[in-house]
Amino acid sequence: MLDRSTPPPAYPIELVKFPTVDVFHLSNGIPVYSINLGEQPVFKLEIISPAGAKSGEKAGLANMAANLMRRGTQSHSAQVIHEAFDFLGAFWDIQANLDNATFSVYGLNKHFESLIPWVAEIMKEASFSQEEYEKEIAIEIQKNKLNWQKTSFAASQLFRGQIFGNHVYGRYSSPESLADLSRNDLFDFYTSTWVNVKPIIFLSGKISDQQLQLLDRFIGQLSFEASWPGNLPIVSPQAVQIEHDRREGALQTSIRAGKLAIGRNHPDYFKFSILNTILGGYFGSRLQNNIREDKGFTYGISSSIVPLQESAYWVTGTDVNGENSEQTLEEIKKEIRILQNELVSEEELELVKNYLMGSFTGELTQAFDIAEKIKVIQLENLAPDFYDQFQKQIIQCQAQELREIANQYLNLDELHVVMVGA
Amino acid sequence: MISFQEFTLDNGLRVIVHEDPSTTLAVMDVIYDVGSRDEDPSRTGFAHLFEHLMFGGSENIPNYDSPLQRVGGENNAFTTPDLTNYYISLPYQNLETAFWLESDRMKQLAFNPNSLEVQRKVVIEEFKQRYLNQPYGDLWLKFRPMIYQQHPYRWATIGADIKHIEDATLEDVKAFFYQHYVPANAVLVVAGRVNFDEVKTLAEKWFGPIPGGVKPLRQLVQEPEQKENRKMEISANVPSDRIYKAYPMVGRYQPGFHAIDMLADLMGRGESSYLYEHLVQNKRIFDSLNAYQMGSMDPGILVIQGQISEGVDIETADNALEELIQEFVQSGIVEKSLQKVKNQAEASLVFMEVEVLNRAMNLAMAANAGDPNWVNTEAEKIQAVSLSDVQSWAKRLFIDGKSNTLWYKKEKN
Repeated sequence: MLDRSTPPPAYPIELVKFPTVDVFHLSNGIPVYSINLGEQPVFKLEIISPAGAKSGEKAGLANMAANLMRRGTQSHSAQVIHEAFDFLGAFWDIQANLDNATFSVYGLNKHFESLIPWVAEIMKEASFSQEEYEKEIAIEIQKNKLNWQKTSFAASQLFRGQIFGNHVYGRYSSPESLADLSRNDLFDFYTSTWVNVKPIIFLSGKISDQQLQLLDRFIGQLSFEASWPGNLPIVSPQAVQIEHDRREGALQTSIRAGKLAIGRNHPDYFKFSILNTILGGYFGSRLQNNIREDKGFTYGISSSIVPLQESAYWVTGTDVNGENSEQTLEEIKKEIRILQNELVSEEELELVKNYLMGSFTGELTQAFDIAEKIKVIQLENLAPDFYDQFQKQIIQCQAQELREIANQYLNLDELHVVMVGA
Repeated sequence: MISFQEFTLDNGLRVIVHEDPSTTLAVMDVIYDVGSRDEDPSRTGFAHLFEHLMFGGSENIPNYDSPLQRVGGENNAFTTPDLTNYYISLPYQNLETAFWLESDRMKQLAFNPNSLEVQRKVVIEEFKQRYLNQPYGDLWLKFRPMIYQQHPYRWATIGADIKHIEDATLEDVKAFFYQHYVPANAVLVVAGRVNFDEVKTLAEKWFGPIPGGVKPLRQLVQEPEQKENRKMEISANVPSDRIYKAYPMVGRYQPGFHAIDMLADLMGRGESSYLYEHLVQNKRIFDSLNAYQMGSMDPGILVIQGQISEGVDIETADNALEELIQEFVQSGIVEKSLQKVKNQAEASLVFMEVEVLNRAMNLAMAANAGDPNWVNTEAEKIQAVSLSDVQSWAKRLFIDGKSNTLWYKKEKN
């Protein structure tokens, strides 16, 4: 008779060595970090420019400039360019975040050669025509209005505003601020970032030398005058507030609670990351067990560390039944206090360690996922063995250390709270 | 090309194995051939609620998630109108844990009353988060019953009404489990760094002893042919007016599906598509326009949806869209554009194969529909679509008397 109540033997999860990354320099000095892995004849190309929100004088500049880059060059209309990418079956996008902007292209290797000249043209010669500017601003304003109606979006924006105050990281756009962006503002932003500053390139998939040569032929010949911008003013902690933006008719409340935190370049980051996993970083986390699986207040709750190039914050977020929002906030605080006062059991710690090691196993076998990690290492100036260290620290981590970390980095007096909705 | 081997256990469970030694993961995907279309009209949302209960413990394993996380694995599940899919990925050396967990809940669920009480609340919050507390979130709750008047696709997978979820009882849960969650009604795919012989041994060990059961006979009311155009208007606190249109089409595995899929892409996939070029770019009537088909197994729908630019009247926009659809049917379907959407479809298929979990899931979907090898014939079927196929399907779909139109308007302040 088969014994179904005893689990099968579990085997320890092996450390996965972070792969060696190849760096190739184009003729103009642009570094290309590449990872060649996988059987499918595909690539992901990512070109990163310091064209993030922090480089702009006004809210929304970076995002709008990224949109307009997709809408035509001096030689070709947007229609012709989209037709060209679509005809080659390629997916492409340009997205700005707080720190940088990324021009990404996913395609089949057989079309690489035909795609790259388009990429070079868009990097240098986007036209920002008056007609496209008017259209894209009008569309973005409607999108922005729609987003602000979503309680989860509003809560995230207001929370970031509270954490960072007047620092550029705390800025967010509104329909009014978007209407205030001129075509010249946007074109100047594009010129001072994409056109002038030497980008960094990441290439992953089934990659060949020929592709690197093609990058050199089309992008290696472009000239860039400026170097990456220097650091921003230092982020200083803001006064803690509890904000509740009540919306008539809302059925749920979007909660964001958190504080400034340490980033990946801090020696305690690894332990803080393990602590976050226990609290709200995976499906079996304490918050998920308490708020969802025990009380049924929400479809989901999670916490995460958001590392930025010049700061970091930690946030927990959920959409809960309107009646239970205050209680949920109290429970979040309660779970933090427990981590500050009691040791995590060996059983739970073992589970979380294995869960995290299992995640590494999954993430370090696929080229696109590895490329994400290479990007983090390069953009945040981390040691090349950062992810090997991470795995070692997971294995060595002790419960006492986590309790110290909880006391040091999750001080409840510094907890910012934003609630939007019911 | 996704290579695979398969066998069927004595109890009727179909098992498909896809070996990929290049990864350090093993994945397991189980599809039960039951979705929201199989629900009682007075108990909608049940297939999905049941999916939540599958994580509430089984006969010998009180908690499903922890033992998996303990060996480095992750899992999730989803329910569609057609089927319910459960998947696991974990380090390959711990594959047997997946067999242990997945077989125990197929054999006997715990029917824990507390789990029902909690998951009922969780699903109600999911209902609110996704459908009620989002701008335009209730669209499909309103639009489905207009498009489908008989077929169970008329309700959304989340359910027609929160009340149905509130009313679900433990007796319903048991009945549903014994009827649908049997080996004869499931497909199991194991993929990644696994070995066929080992999978066979493990499948016989863990799933073999489960009584086979009987595959339920599906006898759904089919939707009668639509004979008149239908129209509805709703308004809510949203920032822009939107138009949604739906046209009846064939099912996922019926002749014509690929031609209609290409047709939808020609009209409204991306910023080089026909609708975008004319009505977003040139005439500035819409801020966005998309066309897509739903891929449902029973006869489905092709959907066109657009957000109208600020200051443009919804009726003007609708007239312009109707006119353009007719122009497209008459003269818009050309060889070069067809080649473009075929190239896009080809790339999508190759990218789908990058992740081993996607390969496993697609094998499971195809096997559940009839033949796992359909994952490998998809590319030829797309290439075989001719210009005249697309043109003739366009003429059949977009004729008077076959449209469903919903105007989603912003409330006047």
